[in-house]
Amino acid sequence: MSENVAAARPQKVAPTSQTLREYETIYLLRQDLTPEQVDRIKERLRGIIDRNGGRVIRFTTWGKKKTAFPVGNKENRAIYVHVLYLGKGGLVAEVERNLRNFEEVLKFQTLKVSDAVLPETRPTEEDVVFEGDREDERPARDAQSEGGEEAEASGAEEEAQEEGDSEDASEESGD
Amino acid sequence: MSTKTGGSTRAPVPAAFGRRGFGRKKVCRFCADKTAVIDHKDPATLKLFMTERAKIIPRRISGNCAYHQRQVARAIKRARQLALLPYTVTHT
Repeated sequence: MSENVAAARPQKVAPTSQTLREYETIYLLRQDLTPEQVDRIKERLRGIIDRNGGRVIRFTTWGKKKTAFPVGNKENRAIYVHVLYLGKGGLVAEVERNLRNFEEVLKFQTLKVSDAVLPETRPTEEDVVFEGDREDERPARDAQSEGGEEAEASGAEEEAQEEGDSEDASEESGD
Repeated sequence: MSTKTGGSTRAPVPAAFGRRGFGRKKVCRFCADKTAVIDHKDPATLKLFMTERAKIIPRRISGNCAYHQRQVARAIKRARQLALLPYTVTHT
């Protein structure tokens, strides 16, 4: 997903009235959303960008990914969506204002990719959807633990650790 | 062995003194490999420049040049904001 942006870097042009800026926004959605709901937010965002004199180049849905820390309502997963678009000053403020209003959006970050881009050089691309992480990252433990006591013991330890973690989390909420 | 860091103006010192006699000269990964990109959307690469406790490794240790260390540090901080990388591994 990272190579997409770097691969198609247009040549540098001086900012004029003909050029637009290129931005990328990544936003995190609640993990319990259906693909249809994700698409609906996508289309709303596309409408906002179009209305404000911008143009979406590409939406890339990274899918459900594990977050490095709990985001939003103590969730450890989120749906990541990356959007690349062209626009003038003020568009980002409008996009971010709307993202803030969407209840489903947990976090977002916008970066300027390029100061000046001729709109003709950046054609609209098709949306990309990735699978995201697998829901169950751990291999099936039952198959392994049949063998010996060691495997079972290690499994128990892990469970204990998990409990500890969840307690920590609940303490946080108390504060 | 000569690098941009420019020891050329200094008086020649035995290699053993210059680097305390340990190991080999570190090379900035991103200078050595021009195709490598530093991207905040690529947490797997950035993780190489973080400790287990999720601190950014100083360039003294990692061997990055100043220019690329700045880029790496910025990319890590951006990735943290998106929860792609942790700020810390201990939550108290």
